Amino acid sequence: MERDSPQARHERLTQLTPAIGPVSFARDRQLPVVPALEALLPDGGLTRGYTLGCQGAAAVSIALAVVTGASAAGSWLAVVGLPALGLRAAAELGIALERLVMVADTANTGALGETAWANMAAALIDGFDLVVIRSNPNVRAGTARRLQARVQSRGAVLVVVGDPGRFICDLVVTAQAGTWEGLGDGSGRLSRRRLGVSVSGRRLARQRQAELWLPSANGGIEAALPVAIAGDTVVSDTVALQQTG
Amino acid sequence: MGSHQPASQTTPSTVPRLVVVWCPDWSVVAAGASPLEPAAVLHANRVIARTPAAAAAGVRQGHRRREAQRICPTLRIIDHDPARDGREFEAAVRSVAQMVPRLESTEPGSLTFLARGPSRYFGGEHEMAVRVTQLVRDAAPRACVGIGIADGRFTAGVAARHSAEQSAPAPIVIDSGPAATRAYLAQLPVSTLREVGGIAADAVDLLRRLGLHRLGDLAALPAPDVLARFGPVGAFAHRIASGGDDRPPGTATPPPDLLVSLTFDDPVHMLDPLVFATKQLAQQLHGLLAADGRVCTRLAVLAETEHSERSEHLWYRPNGLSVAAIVERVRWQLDGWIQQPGGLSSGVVLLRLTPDEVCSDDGNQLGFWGGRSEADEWAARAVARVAGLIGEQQVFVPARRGGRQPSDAYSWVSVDQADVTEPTERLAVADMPWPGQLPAPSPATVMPEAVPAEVFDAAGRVVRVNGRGALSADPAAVSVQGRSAEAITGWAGPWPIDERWWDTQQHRRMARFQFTTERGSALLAVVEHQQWWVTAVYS
Repeated sequence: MERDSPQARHERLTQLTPAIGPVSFARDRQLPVVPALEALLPDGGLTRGYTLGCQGAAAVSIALAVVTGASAAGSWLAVVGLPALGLRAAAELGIALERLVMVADTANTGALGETAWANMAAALIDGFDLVVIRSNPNVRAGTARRLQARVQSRGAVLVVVGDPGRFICDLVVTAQAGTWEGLGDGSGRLSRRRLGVSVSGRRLARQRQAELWLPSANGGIEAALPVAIAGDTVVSDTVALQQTG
Repeated sequence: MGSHQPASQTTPSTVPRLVVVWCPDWSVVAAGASPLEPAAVLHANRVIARTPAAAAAGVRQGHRRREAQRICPTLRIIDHDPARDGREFEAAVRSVAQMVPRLESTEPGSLTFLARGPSRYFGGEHEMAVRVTQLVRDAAPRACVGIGIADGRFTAGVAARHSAEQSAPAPIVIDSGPAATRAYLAQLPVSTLREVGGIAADAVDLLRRLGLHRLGDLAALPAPDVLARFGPVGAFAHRIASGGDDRPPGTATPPPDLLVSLTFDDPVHMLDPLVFATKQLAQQLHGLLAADGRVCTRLAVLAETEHSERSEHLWYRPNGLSVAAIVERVRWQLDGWIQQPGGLSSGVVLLRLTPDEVCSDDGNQLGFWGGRSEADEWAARAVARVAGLIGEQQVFVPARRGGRQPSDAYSWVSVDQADVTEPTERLAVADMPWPGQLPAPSPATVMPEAVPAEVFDAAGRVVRVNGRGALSADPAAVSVQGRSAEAITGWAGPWPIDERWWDTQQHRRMARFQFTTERGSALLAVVEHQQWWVTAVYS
C-alpha cells in the first residue's frame, strides 16, 4: 500500500472518527458504591439511567446503603416520602447530609394528583443524580415509563423503595429481615445486624447474594460473607467478573 | 495622574484605576419600597437589604426574620427576587452607558468601569463622579449612590462602600499609586476582606484571632511568610490588603476570535426564546473554555436588534461564570432592555457572548457567592422548581440540632427557612458532645411522633419502671400501637434521661430501652410516666 500524504491521512482519519469514535462503556457511566456492595452490583457500581427496586424488611436501609457511595462522592440525593428517615443513621452510614433534600410525599395522602406527582418527580430527576422514592400505587404505566426515560436521558439513578408498581426495575435488591447482635437478656446494646441481601433483575444474568453487616458496629456497612452467584459452587470476586463478562 | 512610587514596591504597576458605583440595599430599591417605610428583603431567612427607615430602627444585614421583626415590629418583609433586582438596575446601567463605554457589573447594584477615559472626558475624576452619580439618580431616584475611585477593584469597592455610608454620600477618590492605596487600606478592619474581597469568613476570623486586626497589620507581613502560613487564600488576602493586583491568579485575555454568537433569521421579540438560545450559547462557550481547563471571569454580552439598537454589557464574577450564571445575567440584562420605557422598535437578530477575561479553572473557589458547583446549581434549581410545584413547606433539608434522643439529633427544616446549597450553618457540628446519647448504630427510622406501646412481663402484666430505674419484672412481649404482642428475644436498659430538670415546664424524665422481637425487628422504646412509647425502629 502506497504511503499517503499527511493531508490525505488526516482526511481519512477524520472520516473514520465517527465510526471508531467515542464508545461509551457501561463502566464510564457508573456512580460509585461503598466497597461492600461493589461485588453485588453489575460492573461494580450504580449505572446511570438504571431504576432499582429495593424490597424486603430492610428496604429503606438497603436503599440508603446503595446510594451512600455516590452521595459521599459528590452526588445530590433527593428522598421522596420518607419523613421518618433517621438522619443520624444516614450520617453514620456515610450519606452527605449537605447534599440531601427530602420532599414530603403528598401523593400518597391524596393531596397531590398523579400529574403533579409526576411533575415533581421529573423535576427531581432533572436536578439530582440520585432519587429515592417510596412506591406509589397511583402511578400509571405511561407515567412510570416517561419518568424512567427521563432517568435514562439525564443519567440519574432512580431507587424505588417497596413494591415498584408500574416501574420496571433494572435491578431488584432484596434485603431480608436480619438478625441483630449485641442485645442480651437485660444487658448489652444493639451493636450490628447481619443482613442477607440478594440482587436480581433483567440486567443481571444470575442472582447474586451476600451477607452484609448493615449497620455495622460503627453504623456503616461491611461485608459479612463474600458474594455468591446462583449456580456457582466456588465463589470469589475474580471468578465472578470473568464469568459474567 | 498621580505620582508613581519607585519600582522597589512589589505591587505590579498594572493595577487598573477603576470607578466602582455601589448602590447599597439595591434589592429594596428595586422592590419599590419607600425609604421612609421600614421594609427588608430576605433571602434564606436572612436580611440582605433594608430601607433607611428599617436601618434606623436597627435592622442589619444578616439578621434572621424573627430577630428583625422583634427589633422592628412594623417591618414589611419582601421576598428576594434576583430577576427583579437585575431588571430594575438595567435602567441605571443604560443611563450611565450614555456617557461611559464598557460598563461592567458584578451583581445588581454595582457597576465598575475604567476611570481613565471618562475622567479625561469630564475634566477630572471628581467631576466625572458627580456626573455619574447624577446619571444613576436620574434612573433610580430612590437609590443611595456611593462612588469610589481607586487603583484596583478591591480598593475602589471599599471606597464606594464608604462613600455610600456617609450621611451625605459624596464620591471618594483615592490617589493613584501603591503608597496612597496602602495608606487608605491600612486602618480598615480585616473583615473588609470578607465583605468586599470575598475571602472566606473562617480565613478572616483566623487572621483576627492571630492578632491581625487591620489590613495594615496583614500588609506589613512578608508575602512569602503569609503564603507559607495561610496558603493561596492568605497570599491573595495579603495581595489585596497591600493594594496589589486583585484579579484571580492565572487571569489572561482570551484570543480575540474566541466568541459564540447566534443570528436569528426571524427577529425575536420575546425574552424567553432569547434566554433559551442563551443557554445553548453559554453551554457552547463553557465547553470551549473547559476543554482548555479555563473558565470565563468577565464576559461581554451583546444583543442587537434589526434596527441596530444595541445592548452591550460586561459581567464579572471572580470565581468564574458557570452556564447557569451566564444565563441568569443575560436574563437580567435583556429583561431590562426589552422592557425599557418605549420598548424596542424591532426584534433581536443577534446575540453574542465574548469572553473578555478568562482564568484557569483550578477549582480555586474564592467563595464570593459561596463557591457552588454545577451539580449544586442543578439541585438548587430542581428544589426551586419542586417548591414551586408543591409548596416550599413541603421540601426539606436536614439541620443539626443536637440532643440525646435520635429524633433530637437532626431535624428537617423547610427550604424557605434554609439555604439548600449553603449547608455550613445548618449542619455545623456542635462542638460539645451530648452525654447520654446512645452510641452508633443509630435507628434508621425515627418516628415523627412517638407511637404508644405496651410492654408486658411473662405473666402478662404491664412492666413498670420506678424512679430509681428498677423494673417490676423482665419484659417478655411488646405490643406496638395496639397490634398483637410480639415476644421479646433480647432487651437492654433502662438508660435514664433527666432532661431540663431546671425548667418545670419542659422537665422530662424517662428511661430508654432497646428490644429485639421474634419477628426480627429492633425497637427503641422509652417509658415516661409509666407510659411506653416506641420512638424509633432499627429498620
